[in-house]
Amino acid sequence: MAITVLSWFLPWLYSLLTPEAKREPYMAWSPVSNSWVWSMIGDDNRPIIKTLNSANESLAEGLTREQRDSLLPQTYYRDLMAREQLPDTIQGQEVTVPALKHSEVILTSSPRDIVKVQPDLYLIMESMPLRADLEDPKEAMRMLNDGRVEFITMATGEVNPQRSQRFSEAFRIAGFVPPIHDANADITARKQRDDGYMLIDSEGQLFHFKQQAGRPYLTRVKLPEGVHADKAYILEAMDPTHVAFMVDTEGNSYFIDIPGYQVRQLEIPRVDPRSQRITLMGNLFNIVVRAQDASGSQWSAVDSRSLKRLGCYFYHNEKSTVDKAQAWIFPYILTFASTSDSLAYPRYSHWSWRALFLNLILALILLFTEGFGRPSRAARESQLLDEPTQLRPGAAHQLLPVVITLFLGLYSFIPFLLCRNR
Amino acid sequence: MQPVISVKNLTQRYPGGRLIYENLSFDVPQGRILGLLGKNGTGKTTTINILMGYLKPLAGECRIFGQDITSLTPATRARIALLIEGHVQYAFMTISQIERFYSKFYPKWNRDAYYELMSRLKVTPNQKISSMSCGQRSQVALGLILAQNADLLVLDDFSLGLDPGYRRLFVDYLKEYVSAEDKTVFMTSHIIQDMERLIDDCIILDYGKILTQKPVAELMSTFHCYHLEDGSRPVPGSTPLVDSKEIINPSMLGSTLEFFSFTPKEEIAQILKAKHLNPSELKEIPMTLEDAFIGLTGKY
Amino acid sequence: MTQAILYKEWLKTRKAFWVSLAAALMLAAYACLAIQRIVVGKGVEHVWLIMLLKDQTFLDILKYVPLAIGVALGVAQMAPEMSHKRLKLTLHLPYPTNRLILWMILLGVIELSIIWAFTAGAVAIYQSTILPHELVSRCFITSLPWYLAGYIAYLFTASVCLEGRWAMRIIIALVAMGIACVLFMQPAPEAYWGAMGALILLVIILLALPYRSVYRFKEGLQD
Repeated sequence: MAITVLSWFLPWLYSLLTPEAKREPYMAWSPVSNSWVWSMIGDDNRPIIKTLNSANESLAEGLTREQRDSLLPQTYYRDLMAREQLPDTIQGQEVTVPALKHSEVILTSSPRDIVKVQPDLYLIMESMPLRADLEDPKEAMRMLNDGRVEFITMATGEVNPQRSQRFSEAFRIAGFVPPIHDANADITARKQRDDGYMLIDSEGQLFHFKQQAGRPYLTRVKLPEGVHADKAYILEAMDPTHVAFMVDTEGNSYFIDIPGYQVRQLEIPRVDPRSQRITLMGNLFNIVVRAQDASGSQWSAVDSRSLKRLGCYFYHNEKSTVDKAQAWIFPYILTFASTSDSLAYPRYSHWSWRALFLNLILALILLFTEGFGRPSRAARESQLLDEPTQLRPGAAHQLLPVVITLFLGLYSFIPFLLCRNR
Repeated sequence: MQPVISVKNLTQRYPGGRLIYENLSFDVPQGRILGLLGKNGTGKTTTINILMGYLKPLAGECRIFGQDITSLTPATRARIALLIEGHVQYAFMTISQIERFYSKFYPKWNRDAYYELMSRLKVTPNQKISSMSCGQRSQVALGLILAQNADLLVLDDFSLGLDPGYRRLFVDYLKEYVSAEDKTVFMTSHIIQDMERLIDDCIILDYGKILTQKPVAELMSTFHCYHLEDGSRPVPGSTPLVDSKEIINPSMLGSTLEFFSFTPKEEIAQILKAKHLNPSELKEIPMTLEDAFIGLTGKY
Repeated sequence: MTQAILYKEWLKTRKAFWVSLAAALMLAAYACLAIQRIVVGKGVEHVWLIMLLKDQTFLDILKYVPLAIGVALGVAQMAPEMSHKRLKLTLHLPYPTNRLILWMILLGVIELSIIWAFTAGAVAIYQSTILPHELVSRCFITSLPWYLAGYIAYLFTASVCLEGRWAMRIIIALVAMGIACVLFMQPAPEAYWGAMGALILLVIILLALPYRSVYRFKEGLQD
């Protein structure tokens, strides 16, 4: 028991006592120079800015903030406007502030919000409210095992039979196979318009679902042969072209575009929303997708129209001295919670052969200090009392802590040392 | 007949390592009252703890009613009444609650004996034991022990914290009870006065060893206290007898040399003669058990 | 005899039991009132919204209550056994020692279970009047590890009380704190659902912990 607690507590204490700031570069794709703009805050708190070509070779280093602003007009158009440096056209496209704003798409997804236990209740908004403004939802929907749905009026807790029947029918006609595998919506009245839910059924089929004037709107998105949806996000961007962003079971990324719910694949490496933090930033010229986890970030840029790859950059988090030292100290690490989900269960990680050196030393300390491997104090006393010297029958049993420490190291060494004299 | 308590070669040390005793052996036959006497720290409570299974001895074997004490059955435990040091009982209970509690465990429970003793206390049945005086609490503990009607009574330092009146009451009660019902008692105390009226046999412990182990009557008839007047010695103030193995704990009382011995007066006179001392000055002084205890263990 | 043992344990714990039950119910009522205030002020819909979108349960005030009750009951039950080493009296009772300890611990566990049942029941009954079963069970599952932490706190407290050596008491208390931290480190609702089997197993294993202390006491490992 003590070993288990220490396996968690000691590494936790270690990381608490050795705080370190992890810095990662920020990447954006410049439509002006057609290159990566790489920026990171340096040790002196000043930004280091450089450009990289699509092969990730450095083009220009030591750029100033002003130079960066002109390379990224899609982001810094306000500053450029103020300095009257906003170009009229880029890559043959007319550049205006409304056009830039209109084309912005932003999406963030965290594994913490996906890998968690969620109740099977879905708040339903009215996408076409009688008055102009959106309102907070008044109803919630649950899907029963047989695929029928129930609409519950939240104020009374009662099921609305007509609406339930109407929506159940819609799900049946659309061919939705229960249960709901994934549902994504942005439930808030503080947005321009409501596009409802992207739903994925148990067979990986993708549906667009919303309530319009109290009636169901449910459309199955025709996915390419062999593609099964795993995770989909409703975008609700100002430009309605991209309805949703979807990741299939293979980790490929797609936009679902109107008209006709076209499924268009982004030419980027695979991503995993269940273990990576995904950030998607789209603009008039390009779309940059960042997939980030503990090992680093994968940045990909595609052309906003063709969705063809512009560049791909991987940033590996360097292992710090503190991290390297950790591998020499702890044979493994036990954690219960993680930054990448909202669950709690024991997780065993970071098995390290290097810690075996320390384990060996600790085991030898146990072996050679009094208490283990040698007769206990009581036994030595009985020898003092001139009782016949005999081999302790528990000698093999007493070696057990030494053997355990050989594997578990510090975690078992401390309790055995403390409990030695009981 | 099988002894009620049988202790063989018991050896024990304090956690610090100091030897309490080694190879302690004794038997308590049925119907006897044995007192384990000794100064503080000689291992009286330790012995009781070992006997009752609250302490593992370093070596040795103890049996009660023929059963190894490490595996006493509940039935055997029911035959043993235990008074732990300080007359500790469940202080959170009232007089009637504690009676109700214990009565369920002992088949020979004597409710009347308990309530008779309790009627002497100026307490109500619903008074909590924790709110009673030390003497009253001891009465409750005693009452429970008598009501249990056990075959063996183990009493650890029963006199601790009791005023003389209660001590006397306790002793009288116990003596009557034990003699009437052929009970066996194993008790410890460091107040010897009470024991004289009560115990049949005694074991006197010193630090690390047993000084003597015999019936009280035998001890009192074979152990003597002698006084030798100063005038009989060649050099006044010297203690010329300290090197004799027959002489125990010699000390000066003013001008008188006091010593103790298991040797009869005549033989002591012979020893004195051999040392050119005048035996006519030798006087045997009558002793109580307490005197004998101090004679054996020394004053400090 | 078993009845007598339970009677003794009940005498020790009844005050702590009633006080704990009253305190737990009052805090449960407070938690329900907090929800009711939102219902009156902003409507039931708002409660649903916050629960579903913000991962709230409105029960945070009850989070550490079982832990505190477990400690209190453990102390109330076991401290009298250890003051003046009264455990000697208990162990001398003509009753099998293992069963004796089992009944002592079981009584504590039963009393805790009664308090948990009333507290969780009161919350669930209130919530059922305004929330769907999905959210009621979500709140219940979220609070399960807190109740398990209460059992664990009780068993560890009992072991600490029955332990004869101060050094070992401190070690046991530190391990207990470590385990308690693990049970409260993930605040997300239903986060412990997957580990619930392991946690229940842990509680069952920990039932043996007071035995260990008693057997150490019987070996004479006391300060």
